Amino acid sequence: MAAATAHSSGMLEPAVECMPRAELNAYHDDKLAELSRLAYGRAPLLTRLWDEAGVRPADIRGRADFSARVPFLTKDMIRDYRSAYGAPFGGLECRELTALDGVFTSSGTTGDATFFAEEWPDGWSPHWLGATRALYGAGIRPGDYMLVGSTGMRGPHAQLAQLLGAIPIFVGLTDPQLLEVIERYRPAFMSLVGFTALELLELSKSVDIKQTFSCFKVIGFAGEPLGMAMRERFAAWGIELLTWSTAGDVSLCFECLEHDGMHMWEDTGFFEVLDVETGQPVEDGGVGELISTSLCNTIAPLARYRTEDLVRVTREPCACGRTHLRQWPVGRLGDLMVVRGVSVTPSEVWRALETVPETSAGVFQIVKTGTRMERLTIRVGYDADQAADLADLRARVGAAIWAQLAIEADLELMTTGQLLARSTTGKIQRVVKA
Amino acid sequence: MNLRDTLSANLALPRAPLAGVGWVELADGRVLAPISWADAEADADWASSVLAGYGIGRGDHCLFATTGSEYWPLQVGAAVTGLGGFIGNIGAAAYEDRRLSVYLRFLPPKVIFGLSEKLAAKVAGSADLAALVAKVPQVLALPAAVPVLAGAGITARAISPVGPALALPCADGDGSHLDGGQFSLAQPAGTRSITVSTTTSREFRLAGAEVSTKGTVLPGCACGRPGPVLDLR
Repeated sequence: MAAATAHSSGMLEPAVECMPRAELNAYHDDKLAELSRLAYGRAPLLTRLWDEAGVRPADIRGRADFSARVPFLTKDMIRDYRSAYGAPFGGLECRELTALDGVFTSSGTTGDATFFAEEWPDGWSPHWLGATRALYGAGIRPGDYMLVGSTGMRGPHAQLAQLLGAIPIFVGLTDPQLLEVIERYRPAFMSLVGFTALELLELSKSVDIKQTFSCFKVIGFAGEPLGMAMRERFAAWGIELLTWSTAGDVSLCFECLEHDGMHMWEDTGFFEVLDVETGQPVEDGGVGELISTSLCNTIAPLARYRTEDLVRVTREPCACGRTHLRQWPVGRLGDLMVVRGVSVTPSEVWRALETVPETSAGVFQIVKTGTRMERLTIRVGYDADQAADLADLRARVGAAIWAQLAIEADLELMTTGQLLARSTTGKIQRVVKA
Repeated sequence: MNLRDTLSANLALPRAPLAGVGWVELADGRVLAPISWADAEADADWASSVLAGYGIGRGDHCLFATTGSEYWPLQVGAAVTGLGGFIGNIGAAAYEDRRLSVYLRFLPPKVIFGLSEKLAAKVAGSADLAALVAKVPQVLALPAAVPVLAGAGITARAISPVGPALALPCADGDGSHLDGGQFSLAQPAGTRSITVSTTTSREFRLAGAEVSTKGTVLPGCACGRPGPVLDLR
């Protein structure tokens, strides 16, 4: 595969995307040693942490040393350092602000957002550059039209299209002229982020989605996991969804057309997956916390950053031929909770709600009062057009939760619109504090 | 094997025939407007010439508060990075007040571009946030947001698309400038209506079309810059 010429393989960079594991390992050994030399002595927080752990750059000769000796970094450490010293990048900065071209932020779901620093080669944002392999692999080609405008917080989205030789159309999903644009230009790609997917559900009440959206080669979906009911609905519309996410806050990761996990580009990051209880690496296919390290950020690199993302991963090559790590998001570390001795995750609640037609869109929040709780309280959004008898709906939702978890839940029913209006970040927070 | 290699692989692909397709807000509705690469280059060059007066240079942060579905932030963003500054991004929704606060506290911008009316209302409703915004040297807000901010004691000037053009204030003047090399304006007597004409080099052309934006065409600006000047208040 590595011998394939660029583009003839259907891949943008086949030699990199299909790099043998041994070469990836050697690459990581070099880059981690290089990162250690860059960060130590420059990034004040990292230097302090490494000093406390008795680590020097010369100690880091590769992956084994790095994983064994380098201390973890958490978002709270970054926030605390930022607050204490006024350092915008929380003590990760290795270079002056004059090196910057762009800055964007984390979602801010769990507190004050943190910054990510970018240097743009020749004026192109690396954030969007990181998505081009996936979209090229999914069949987006020069001359295609792409809808851009799903977010203003991640910089020039239009560059994603322009990098692929495609033409960006500046239009948001809630734009009244969306259908006019689709009819006129027959675009090949757009992306749905979080609950914007529900807009399509609303649209389906008046529009033949299957016909209208038949021009799309793929549609991206990000921001949160997609429930099975919604996934099946998209399939029924003939829409091929390409789920994507952040890869440990160092780059982006996308599904390929095999839909068998999201490819994490390991030339941009070094990823570890550790058992939450023991801190030991999990076996291939196991679930653990994703720990990420930036390999392409010389301004404010993350080093052994605890993402608090629970993921399942494999390093087995994908059927598409790509060799880089693949991940399946499982949830967030903070989402773990026990109710009367029973482990509860948002995905289990989600599965239950999907069985009730009025709540199948999966708009809900679990109200968390602690890691161990006596009562399970769930705010459940329902489709007001479908729900005629709320007492009956409450009984059926309660029964569905019982069937899934064997727990009696306290339900706060509200319309999906009312629940979405509570969002303070544009995402549905699945677990909220009381 | 790095981002530059990925960029090279991308740039080896054929370039699209257009830089993008945006929107033009006319008095009688929105129309789609293709943007050529030459248009985009001319737009960024002109914005760069106006923003040069702001003293934007290496290490200067310029914060964009935009929806992501507009063309003009791409134009102005290219100008900012071309001048050596860097851009930060937040959305235009009211709930972006938290993200705005984080930027203002930890990475104070030299200029804010495009503050929306909804976000301005959140700023006006928070004394802490208003105090932070008031410290920003230049606040360029959408026209509807300017009086909202003024109500909170914040001086802001108007930035706005005007048909296919952008009205962008110069650093010290009172009005918002348009690129006279690509656009000309006219105003029916006694009205605040504006008609726009484009040069023939523009991919999307207009000849005396009334746009949705209202304002007063000014005779000029104290800065002496050529081209149309608008008061969007």
